[in-house]
Amino acid sequence: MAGFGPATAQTVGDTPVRGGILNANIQTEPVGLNSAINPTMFIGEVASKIMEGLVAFDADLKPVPALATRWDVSPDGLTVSFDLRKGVKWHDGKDFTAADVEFTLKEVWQKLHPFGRSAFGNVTEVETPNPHRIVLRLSAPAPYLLSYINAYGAQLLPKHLYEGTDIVNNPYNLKPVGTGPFVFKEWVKGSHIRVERNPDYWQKGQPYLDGIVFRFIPDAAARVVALQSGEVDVSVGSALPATSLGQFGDASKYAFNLIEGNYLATIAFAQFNVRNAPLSDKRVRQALAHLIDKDALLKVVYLGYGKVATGPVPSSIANYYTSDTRRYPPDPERAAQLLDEAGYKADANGRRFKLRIITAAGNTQNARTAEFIKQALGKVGVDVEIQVPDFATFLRRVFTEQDYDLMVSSMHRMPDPTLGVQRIFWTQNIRKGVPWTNGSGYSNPRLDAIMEQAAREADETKRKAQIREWQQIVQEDVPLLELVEPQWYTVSTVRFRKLALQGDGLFSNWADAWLEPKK
Amino acid sequence: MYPALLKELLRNRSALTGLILLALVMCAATLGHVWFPGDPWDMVGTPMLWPGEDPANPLGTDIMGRDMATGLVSGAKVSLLIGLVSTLISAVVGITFGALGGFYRGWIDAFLMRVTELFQTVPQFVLAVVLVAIFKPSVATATFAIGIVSWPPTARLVRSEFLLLREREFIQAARTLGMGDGRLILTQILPNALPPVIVIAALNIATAIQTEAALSFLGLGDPNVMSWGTIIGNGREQVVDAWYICGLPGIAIVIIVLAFSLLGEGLNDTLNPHLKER
Repeated sequence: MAGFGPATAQTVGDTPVRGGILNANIQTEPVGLNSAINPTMFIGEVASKIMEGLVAFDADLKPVPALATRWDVSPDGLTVSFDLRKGVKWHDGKDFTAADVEFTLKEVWQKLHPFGRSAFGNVTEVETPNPHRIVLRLSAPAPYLLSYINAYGAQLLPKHLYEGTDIVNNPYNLKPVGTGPFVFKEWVKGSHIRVERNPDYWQKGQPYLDGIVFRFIPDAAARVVALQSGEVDVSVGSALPATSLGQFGDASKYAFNLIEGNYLATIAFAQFNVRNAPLSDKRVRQALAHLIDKDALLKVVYLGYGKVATGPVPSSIANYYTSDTRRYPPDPERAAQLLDEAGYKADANGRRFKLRIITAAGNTQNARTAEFIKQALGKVGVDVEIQVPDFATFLRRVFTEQDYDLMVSSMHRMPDPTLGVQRIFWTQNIRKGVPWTNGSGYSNPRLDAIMEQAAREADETKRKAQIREWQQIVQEDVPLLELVEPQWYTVSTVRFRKLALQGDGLFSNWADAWLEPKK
Repeated sequence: MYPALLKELLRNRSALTGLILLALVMCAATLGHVWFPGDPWDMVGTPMLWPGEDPANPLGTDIMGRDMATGLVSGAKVSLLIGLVSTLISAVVGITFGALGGFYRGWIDAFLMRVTELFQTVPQFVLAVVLVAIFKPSVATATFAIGIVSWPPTARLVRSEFLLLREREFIQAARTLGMGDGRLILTQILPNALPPVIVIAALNIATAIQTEAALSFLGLGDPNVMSWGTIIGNGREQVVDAWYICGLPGIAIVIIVLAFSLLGEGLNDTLNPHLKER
């Protein structure tokens, strides 16, 4: 992490240069460009340059105006209103109005977006008193709503191109028409997506770039070479393997941006299947927690690029995070003692029981985490078999067949715990066959009540207290071992600059980005 | 016959080199854990130590601080095991198909050879990947998959030998004496058809070891067993910063494949009477 600090500052500048084509690279080619129906981050990373949301989030994850210029929440939390930007046009020349927002909310976010269903679930009525104002009436306060209205959480779609169509299969999902600083030009599958400067962009004078080419390079080692050779100017969203970052240490050539993924608030974890013995016993889970040295894991598997996680809410969500949770310092003796208490004594060979760890093929860090856990548990006589099926089998085994003991993965916790974290622990979210729900089978009525309260609590202070208690209960019961908050990093040449950093920068529209002239 | 064969093998330069290399690898596989004891998955040192940097890890450590030497020794065992067993599988299947087809000819032959061609038209490695992916990746499934994709050449070879031999006078004689099909195949024809099969088997082992390494490299190896392919697969991201993680097991694979290829060539020279004068 050493070279990271000063390098961060270099991605920001104050004297924009006009012109030039930016070559960018993301990890995986997206399947479409409609973030309003599919929250895969690779879609958002490209689509956010073409399509916009109501707000964006600044470096501290506070909302800043995008297509909404002003917003208000009534004191009782039941009315949320937005003033929309005037004079904004879709790329095909039609006006952007409140009707577009109403349509996308009712027909797309509420019906088709996986988080949108909960984020906008309380919205019962939508009023559009004039073309530039929209008022939402809620059945109960939804304090989390304002955290989901950026280009990634709630992308706006043009009503005139989507109304009355099969939205999921609409051809414009592949050639989007937006309001953003860049206009979609071409998509050569397997190669690149090209976008060009929008001359009529509402932010006068922007964008500075003439265009962007998103290059798709499937091999990680080739992505490293592409940035080194100057073929690519910026590599977004941890697209480079952490093991190669040492090659970009020269701060006169390369810059790191480390806050762009804060919005995702990702935590890597190992989830217990608490349905079956011995993992149904809290003491066993606590014992296993005492065996994982998270500092060593961070160092060995993540090469230090991240932070040790202390609970279900990541520390980057400063509003709600508490460090005041139960910790499980590495302590094999205490672990052995807890296992003995739970009745799982070591046999003549020192063995206690056997567990299966499952993780999806293709993610090196998760596979290495599984190997790390296997070694750690073996020390007190818990034998581990690692299983690495393909992604579809992995999801089926965990969420449909529930046929596993431990699962290693990572999940975006998002800026508000009610949407990003509650889904993992809520009894009502134990939904067979639905990926990324409560797959551990953990159920605690007291926690359920607290989470449900926090979801409709309009008073911010009370809500903070509720979410603090929630974190404490989860860390006491440990249905999941929260391991590491991985550091999202964007690596660029020093030529790539922006006016301001954003907490949701992976989905920033790059209107304020430019390339310094070659020296 | 066998001592004589061995003597002749030892006189053959490539066979001798092959045997020596093979003996070295066998030694590492069976006795290696005496020098490098412990679990190859144990994180014992600082990650990415170069060979020679720390006497405790003479061949260095990988990205997670696991001892390279222990891993290589464990890998030798896995590679040899998979190479031998999968070749045994492919030999048994290949000999059965070839023997029955060549001996009975007619529709049995036609049917068996169509099946063989079916396997030959699918690219071997792709089929192995599919098989391992369908069943869960483990040493057993990898061995099985490699055996199943590599038998067709053996089958065709055995068939051609049988087609030739079944018309020979000594077989006609045995048949006249009233010998049954089973005995004819097993005691008369097969022993005479075996020499080329042994040669192809030696080469098959080499291919099998490479295939296993390729499967592990793609992440389709047994996640609980440290093989050479696993080490290479784990190390490929760091190939610029620490080439030895891929390099050392790579050299090991070259040595063992070379050993079996040389041995196969030597066997061919010794067993094939037409090449005696070479």
